Amino acid sequence: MNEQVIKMLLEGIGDTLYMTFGSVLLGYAVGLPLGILLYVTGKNGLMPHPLLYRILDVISNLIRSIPFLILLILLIPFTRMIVGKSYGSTATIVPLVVCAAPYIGRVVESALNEVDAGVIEAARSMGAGLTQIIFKVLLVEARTSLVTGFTITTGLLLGYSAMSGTVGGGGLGDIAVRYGYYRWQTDIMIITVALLILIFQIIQMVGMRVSARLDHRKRKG
Amino acid sequence: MSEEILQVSGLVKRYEDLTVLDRVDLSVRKGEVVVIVGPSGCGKSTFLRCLNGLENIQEGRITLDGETIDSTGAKLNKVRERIGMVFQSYELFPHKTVLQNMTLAPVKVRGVSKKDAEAEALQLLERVGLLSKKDQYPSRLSGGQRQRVAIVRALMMHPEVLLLDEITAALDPEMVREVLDVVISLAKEGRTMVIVTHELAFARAVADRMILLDGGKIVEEGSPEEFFEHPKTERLKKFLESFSYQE
Repeated sequence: MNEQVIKMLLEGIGDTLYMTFGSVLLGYAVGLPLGILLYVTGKNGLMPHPLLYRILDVISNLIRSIPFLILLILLIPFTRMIVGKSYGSTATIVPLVVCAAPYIGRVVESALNEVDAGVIEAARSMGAGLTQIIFKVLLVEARTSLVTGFTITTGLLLGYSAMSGTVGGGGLGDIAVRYGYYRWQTDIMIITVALLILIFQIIQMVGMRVSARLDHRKRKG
Repeated sequence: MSEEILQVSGLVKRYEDLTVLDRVDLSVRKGEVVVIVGPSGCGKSTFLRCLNGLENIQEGRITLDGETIDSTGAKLNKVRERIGMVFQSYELFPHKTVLQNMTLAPVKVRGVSKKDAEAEALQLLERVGLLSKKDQYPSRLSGGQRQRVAIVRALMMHPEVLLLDEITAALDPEMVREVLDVVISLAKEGRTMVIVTHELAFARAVADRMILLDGGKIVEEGSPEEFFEHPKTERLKKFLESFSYQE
């Protein structure tokens, strides 16, 4: 394999990681507060607010129900407005974040819902306020599920970032499409797919390890 | 007669059509230990939860030292700091060590320095014989140990009144004693407590006043001696008989 291809693949890995983690982090910047808000305003939340919950609920379901590939195309004008162009890895982060934020919101909400209501009551009974309960109790007690959710979300975005290759998104997916599909260079396609699988496995493994290490709920041997 | 610290008047709690507490009146004096017993579903746990504003009430008034406890009020958290509660299933924070469980609320809610909170926590742990467990997570402790931690965790807030909600109901029989001994020692040092329990022998040992709650009403109340030896109502006689295995 010539140097050029290796260089291209290395760049592809870099772009893929950049898109994946860039969109995960920005996605969490929106999705984490969204998830907390969904939890807090939900039926059994700390401050139930049916109307606000309903609005957030509808918006996040609406976005999640649009197939990513369609979202990618629908958002082209918006992406161009923010990034200045609609192709390349930075531009891909925009639709990835839009797609990920409501998903993350749901993941966070369900992680928080798993926290034992009794523990929250104990905190309330000690006079803890809303923000103290959220930051000192809820997020701490839900951390195992939060990390699991983070891992799953990252895996999902890795796949989506590859999908964006079909519309010139950059990264390994882009290489797979351009070389493997349009140029019939099956070997390059196989290598990019293998690299994607490898990255996915690493993310999954690290995530699960961290999550298990953070878990103090069960007795360990 | 010492001053009244906790007052409940005309408390009504309803879940939709079901009236759980029906005009309950109670007044607790400083240093007094009131034990509430009654059949399952009589509303005794709900009553305790109302005292801490964990349940909203439909009618009546609860005051702590003249301050109204209202589950929707903005000042609720301030009042809650002064009423400690211990739950049947401990409700320790699973991802915090014993020491962190104890210092969280004093540091974050009361604003005590971490150092002072830890020093106090260690003293309390020593007192209940759990000093060696300070860095353990709750999952490593037995039920009895967890409940002792939960009790001293509540004490960390320096509550004026302590509410104990069936704190031995989830424990294995051999662990009940170690938890109740802690409560008895608290009673001896003059803590004001409202206790809901099924342990009648313990109730008798610790109570200044006994209350039988049934159908959401106080059926009978009196000193432990009157209550156990000379029950006045048929309901209480029947209730006490259900605990005895003689004849």
